[in-house]
Amino acid sequence: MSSVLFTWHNNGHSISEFESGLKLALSSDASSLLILACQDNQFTAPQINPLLSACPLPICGGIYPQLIYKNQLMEQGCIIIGFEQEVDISLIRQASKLITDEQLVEAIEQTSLMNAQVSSNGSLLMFYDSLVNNTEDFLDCLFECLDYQTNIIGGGAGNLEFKQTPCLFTNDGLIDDAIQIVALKSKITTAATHGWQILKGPFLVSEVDKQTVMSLDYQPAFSLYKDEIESISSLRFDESNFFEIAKNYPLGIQGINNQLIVRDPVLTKDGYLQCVGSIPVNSMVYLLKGSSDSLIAAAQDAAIKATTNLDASADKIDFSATMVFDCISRALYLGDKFNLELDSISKHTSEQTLFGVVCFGEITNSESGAIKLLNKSTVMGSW
Amino acid sequence: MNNALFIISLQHEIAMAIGNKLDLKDMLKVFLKVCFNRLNLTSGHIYMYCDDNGLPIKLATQQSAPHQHLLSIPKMKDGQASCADRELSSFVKELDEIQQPHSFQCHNSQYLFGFIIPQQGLLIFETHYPLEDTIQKALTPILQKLATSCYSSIVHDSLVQEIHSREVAEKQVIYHAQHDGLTGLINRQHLNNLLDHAITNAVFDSHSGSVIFIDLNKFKPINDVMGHTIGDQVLLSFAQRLQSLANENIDVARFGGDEFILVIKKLPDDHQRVIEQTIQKINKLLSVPIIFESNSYKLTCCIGYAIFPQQSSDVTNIIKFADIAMYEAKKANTLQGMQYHTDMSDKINKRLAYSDAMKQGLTNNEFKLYYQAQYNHNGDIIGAEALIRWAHPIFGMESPSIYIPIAEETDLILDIGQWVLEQACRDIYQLEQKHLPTTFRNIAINISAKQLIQHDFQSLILKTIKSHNIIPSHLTLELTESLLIENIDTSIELLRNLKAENIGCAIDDFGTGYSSLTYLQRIPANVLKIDRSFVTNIDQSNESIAIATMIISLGKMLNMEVLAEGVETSAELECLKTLGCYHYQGFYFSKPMPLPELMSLLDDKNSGKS
Repeated sequence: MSSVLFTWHNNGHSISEFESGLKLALSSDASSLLILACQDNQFTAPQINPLLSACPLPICGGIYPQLIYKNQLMEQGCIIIGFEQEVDISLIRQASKLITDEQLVEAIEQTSLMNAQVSSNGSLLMFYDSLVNNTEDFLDCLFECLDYQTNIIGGGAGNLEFKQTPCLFTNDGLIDDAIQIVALKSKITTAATHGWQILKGPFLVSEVDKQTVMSLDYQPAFSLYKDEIESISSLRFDESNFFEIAKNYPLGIQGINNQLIVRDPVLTKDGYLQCVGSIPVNSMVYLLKGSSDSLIAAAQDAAIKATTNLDASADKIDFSATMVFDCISRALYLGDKFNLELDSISKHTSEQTLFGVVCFGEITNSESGAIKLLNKSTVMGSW
Repeated sequence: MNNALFIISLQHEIAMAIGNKLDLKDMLKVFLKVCFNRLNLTSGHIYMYCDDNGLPIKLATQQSAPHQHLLSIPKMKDGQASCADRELSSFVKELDEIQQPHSFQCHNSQYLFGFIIPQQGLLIFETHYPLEDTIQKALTPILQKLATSCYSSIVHDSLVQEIHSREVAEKQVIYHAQHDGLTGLINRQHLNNLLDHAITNAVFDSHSGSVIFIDLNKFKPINDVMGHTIGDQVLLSFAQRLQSLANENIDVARFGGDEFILVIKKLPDDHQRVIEQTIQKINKLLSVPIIFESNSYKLTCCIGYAIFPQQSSDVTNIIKFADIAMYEAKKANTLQGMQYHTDMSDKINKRLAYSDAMKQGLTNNEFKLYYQAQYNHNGDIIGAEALIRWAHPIFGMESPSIYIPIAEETDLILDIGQWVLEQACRDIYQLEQKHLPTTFRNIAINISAKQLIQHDFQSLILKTIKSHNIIPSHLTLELTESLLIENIDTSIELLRNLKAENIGCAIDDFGTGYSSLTYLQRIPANVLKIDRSFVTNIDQSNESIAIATMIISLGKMLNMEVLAEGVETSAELECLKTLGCYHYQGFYFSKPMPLPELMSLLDDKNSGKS
């Protein structure tokens, strides 16, 4: 079992505070460490690398805009989690250079992930540099290589400046452009929700290049998007407020059973909409809307699902931890009300350690088992 | 309306995913991935109809063929290949039998949906939900398109395979055209091309390169004695060792026979150091004996080299220069390698001119035979050794020690040898017309190595004797000890046959070849000639006395007469007599002389004048 044995968090942003937390972790009986840090700590590689490389235990984790500890949103500080058993950590460096499926599969097959033979009782955590440019291709190949229905949860690390900086913790120091996959020896109970609802549509995605939607219903994408939003609200787009408005109106790709995969438009250029995550050509998309209530309710649904033991015969819940990957755009959208989302989650996790990150892109299995990159969603897992 | 739109968009998207790659498996993988994402599959599998070789085929109408698993996403299930799943396997079998869309709910509540890819194979989707009929029906026209694309890919794959096979065949042809069949090294023709390229680059970039010419020493006896199979193995082993020196800057080639060439394309400024190091490496490769069939072969080589473009920028010339340098190294008996100098060519040119002059001399009757009489202890003439003399029209009387080695390097020695044989027989005939002293036995002629290994040498001698109508016993052959030993089997056979025809044999320069007694015993010779080096001042040298004594005893033991060469003083004569040697040749008795003078000398002896 990869039960959580040690937990430490601190809201201080100094290296010395982190160092003291690390010392405590090392003096515990933990076999591996998960380190999460806030971007506002402004840890640099020269400061932190000596501590990481001197650490005798396997290290994983990353730097995120904000962290979650119980119902608290941390703007600064660190969380250190110590696992009871040593976890297997696979690292794929220079991930953006892996372009073809063959290269991706080869990189995956060369990791210890394949040797670790993630069993049906095992699960994966995934930490990655959110500016790796081929995350979805990687996920497709990972799913192809892994055993049937291996559960996974994860989220993109990085900073709100969208500038690539070292953001993953390894025993070799902080690194960028990499993907880290941590094999736990426990089964994770996962859940993913978003709370966004259909406002208008569907629209046919008539022209697209991966994450850039060029036309919807054969019209320039931004033009249609703008007209639709301005027709149902008093909001008006100008040259500088795209994201301010767009964060309220994501797109949703219609799936086979009416489920929606949310795609977050983050900028417009040349009349196109640039999203986080790809949108297939010829697919149908909807314009979505949300509300604080719907988002918070959805987060609570995820919390209930992720903390309910699937084994109905078990008479008590015996999870040691629940980890949350909550989208940064939800925090931005909810603002002060984001604490309500955390409250709604934490009230279902009184028995176990609740921690998590506010991230760029969330990873989990769809209902079918395939591994998906989500936007504007709350992904949770308990083990 | 929205559902209809959704189905159309779904149909469109999946259809658009067909045929995006040329390779069959790649094309189907793209298709399956899109199906996966759009239909929210749990797993997807494709099976193709295959021929007996396991290659995908398009079935003709009414044709059947076994299906084989091609692709699954994900690859694994419960620690084994996805396609090994029992429920899936039996579903595939059933689908193949009924040949129409089929579905099945598994024990874990998952669903399997099977589709026929017309005339090509089977497509299976696993879902966690029941796939609507409308969607299943929407897939039908897509499957026809997929079948067409599969066929295109199969044709493409077979074309790719054909092109690949052709490329492999072409590469083989090119390889054989460029490489030596035995050793696999670059052959002479390809070496010329590579060298030409290296020289062009060297000229263009103002750097130097080198051709290193390697010739194995004493390889021929291995071929002759052990056979060509062993010889080839030795060459192959050496070639493999030499190949270890090859890199981007060094090409290794077999030039022919036991000759190899290394081309160093680019030398640094201190090129001498690099070349010397390379020569050391080559010698080191031979320091370990070549072992084949538990026999050990220890070889050495001679190495010559030339620098391009300084010494020449012509491929033929630079190889020739390195060859000349190797030849000089061989003559100098050095393993250190020699660099080509222009004087080497001058020397060769002079030799060639000299050779031409010799040829001309033979035609112009410039060669003469002189005879040095041989005596017994009573002062009777017992025979004479024929010695060739060349009266060069410009240089005067040339020494045989100069022109015989040059003639031996070419086949000219055969012409000279034949001339000597003919002339000696002519002279013997003349002598036979006189009244020869009873003590006179024969005229000896010297035989060279090249004559000895001529396959028809024996018949040439017999034919010449016959054509000149002389008594065969009046001719004897002188062969040096070392020549006999190097060609022992040929020599023994030849001498035995000639002995049967009453033609004798003398072993010349005896004592210098350190031959073993075993060999000597087998040689059917009549005379041992003590080399002049042991005769000169024998009366003052205990060492020479010891050797001469040994040769004399050996002669007695082997029943051979012993004749001392180069007797010049009475003291030497007396010493030899004391030791038991009773036959002599040397200036003390008489100098070499033309036939008429010999005939006069014989006349004088007959008439008792001297």
